[in-house]
Amino acid sequence: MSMIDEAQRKRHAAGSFRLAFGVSGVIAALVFIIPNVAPALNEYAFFRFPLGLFASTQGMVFCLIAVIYWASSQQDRLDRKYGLTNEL
Amino acid sequence: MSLNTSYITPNPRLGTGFGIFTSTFASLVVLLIILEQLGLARSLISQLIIVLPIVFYAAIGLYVRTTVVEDYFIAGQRVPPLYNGLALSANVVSGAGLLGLTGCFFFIGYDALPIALGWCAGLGLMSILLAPYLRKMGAYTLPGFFSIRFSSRICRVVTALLLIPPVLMLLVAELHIGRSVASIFLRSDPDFILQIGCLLLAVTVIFGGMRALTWTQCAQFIVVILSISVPLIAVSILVTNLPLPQLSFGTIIQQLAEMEAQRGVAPAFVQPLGDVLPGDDATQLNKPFGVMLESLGAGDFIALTLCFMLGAAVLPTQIPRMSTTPSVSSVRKSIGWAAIFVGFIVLTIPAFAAFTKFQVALDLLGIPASQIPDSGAVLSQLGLLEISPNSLDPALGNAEIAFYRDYVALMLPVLNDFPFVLIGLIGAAALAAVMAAAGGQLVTLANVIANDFYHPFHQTASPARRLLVARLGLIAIIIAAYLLTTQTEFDPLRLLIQAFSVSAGTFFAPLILAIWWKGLTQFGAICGMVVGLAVTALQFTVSPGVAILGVDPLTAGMLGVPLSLLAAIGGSMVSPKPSDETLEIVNEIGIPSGETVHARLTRLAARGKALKP
Repeated sequence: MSMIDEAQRKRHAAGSFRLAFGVSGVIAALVFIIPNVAPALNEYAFFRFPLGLFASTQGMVFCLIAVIYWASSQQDRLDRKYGLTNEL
Repeated sequence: MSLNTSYITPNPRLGTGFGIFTSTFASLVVLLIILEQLGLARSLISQLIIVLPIVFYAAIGLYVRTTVVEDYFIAGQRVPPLYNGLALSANVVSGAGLLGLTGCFFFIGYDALPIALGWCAGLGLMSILLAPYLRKMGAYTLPGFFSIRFSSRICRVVTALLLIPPVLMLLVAELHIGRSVASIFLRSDPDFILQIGCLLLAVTVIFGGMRALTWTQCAQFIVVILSISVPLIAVSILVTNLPLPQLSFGTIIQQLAEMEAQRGVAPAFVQPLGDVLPGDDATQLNKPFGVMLESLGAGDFIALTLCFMLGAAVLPTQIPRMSTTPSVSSVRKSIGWAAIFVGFIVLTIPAFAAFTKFQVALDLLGIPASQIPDSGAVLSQLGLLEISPNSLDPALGNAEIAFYRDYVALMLPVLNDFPFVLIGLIGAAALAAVMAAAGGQLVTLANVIANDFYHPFHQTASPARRLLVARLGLIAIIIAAYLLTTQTEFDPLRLLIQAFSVSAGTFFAPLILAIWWKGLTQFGAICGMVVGLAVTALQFTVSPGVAILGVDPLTAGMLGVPLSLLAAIGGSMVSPKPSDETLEIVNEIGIPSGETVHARLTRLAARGKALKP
């Protein structure tokens, strides 16, 4: 076990929990909302794509990658704040 | 407390090694293009472009052979994030996924999107909800995780038994699609080709286990990315003048819609998922490309997305890969890389399908059989499509053309009269994806046999004996998978969807609860997994084709997940509360620093203070 007192461990765990389930909620919202509104957006064009199709594919992939990297950096920051990292 | 923060140093020459591999592969392709122009026979070109890369993978596997247990089961925990990301991507995408999804986009357009979205979103869930905690546990397999979490051998064995069906389904789907693609190029008895393929696959991973798998998967996924990009970029430049097909195919969507309307591809109407998804038989085009939620209902769209999202997050072949990186932080980074690679594939596949359908609509649809151009005849000779004269008016009526879903990706170079080598290149990409995914499934099952069925009951067995069991298990599994592939008939894409569905239904809820809820007990976890698998499998077998509560049998895991969750919580409520030791393990996996729980227990076991994990 690592050198961390119980109160700190609980604060770290609570922060990790909020981040994990908050980000999962964002991912779920992205995946379910955007494709369902896509048909309505298709009357507009973006990059010569129907906007709904672009948002559901390219837009969604870029957003998901951004969310994964953001969540990863936030978790790293949280771990560093409590001195819980193996990184050199 | 432990101050063990072993900074495992990755091999600094990895980049050089893969640079040499990539250059060699590119040189092979260029050399074959030159030789083709000089008159080399197509049959020989086919054999060289298909067989040489596979021999190369086997050579990599043999080169990195090992007799060290940690290397064999978790690649020594020193795989850098970039390379772990490549290997993760290979597991997610797979050959059946690559070819099946391209075919689905070709046939049903953007209604195939849930599969692609599910892959990416599943990686997102994995990176934040599961990966850091699985890495901290450090188990070699998914059953190993549950075993340490509940200090229970029963839970280990039950999980191992439940893990076999989805992984075997995935393996059989891969072997099936590999046999189909290789048969096109090698023109030999398909079962003989499969035997040779299984032999090479086994040779690739049997001596190096997870270590060999990691480096061969990296090489294979590099081949996938390069091989599908080269012909697609060439087509994109020819059609749109832009070398970025993932963003340039928007320019042809409107034209394609007009051509589809002229050629009689009727507007879609909502149908059940099972009817919307194209089968693996030759089928005529009947749905437009640039529409979404017109043939697939919103409910099925969401269920299919969830099925792939939750299934990809807990795919049993992915779990051991969480333990192969040097630290908790690097496993998150590796999933970030995997999201980039899978995202690239997800953006490339619709472009591939769009350009293929555009060329098909331009050259093949809406004309009599007698006017079909040479490219159509070549495609027909290769067995990639079937052309027959119009049944009502054979002379003047439009030819009836049926396409094979899993061969759609191979059609693009032929339609553009590219050198034959580029057709072989797509074949090489498909087989690389097949070998990468099948290797992952094979190693997962072999490691389960050695670590979850053998080792817990033979704790005094030597490391050499443990590796021998894994290798013998690997041979047994490849023989079983070969027999299942040759003795049964099924659609590989549907098998893939069902495998993701089973994985989600069986493991998602118990795994999430095991990490995030201290109240989960061993009995609750077993109840959750058994109920999830039973509900999912029952809907496949008892009510095929009949939707229950609006859930199509293909996505039965979406009934399995909530029922598994309820069973896991209910089972935990009625069983004795977890011990302090178990609660301590839950606390420990939440702390990213320090040694893994597996390493700590191994250290204690060496002093006789704990059972070997």
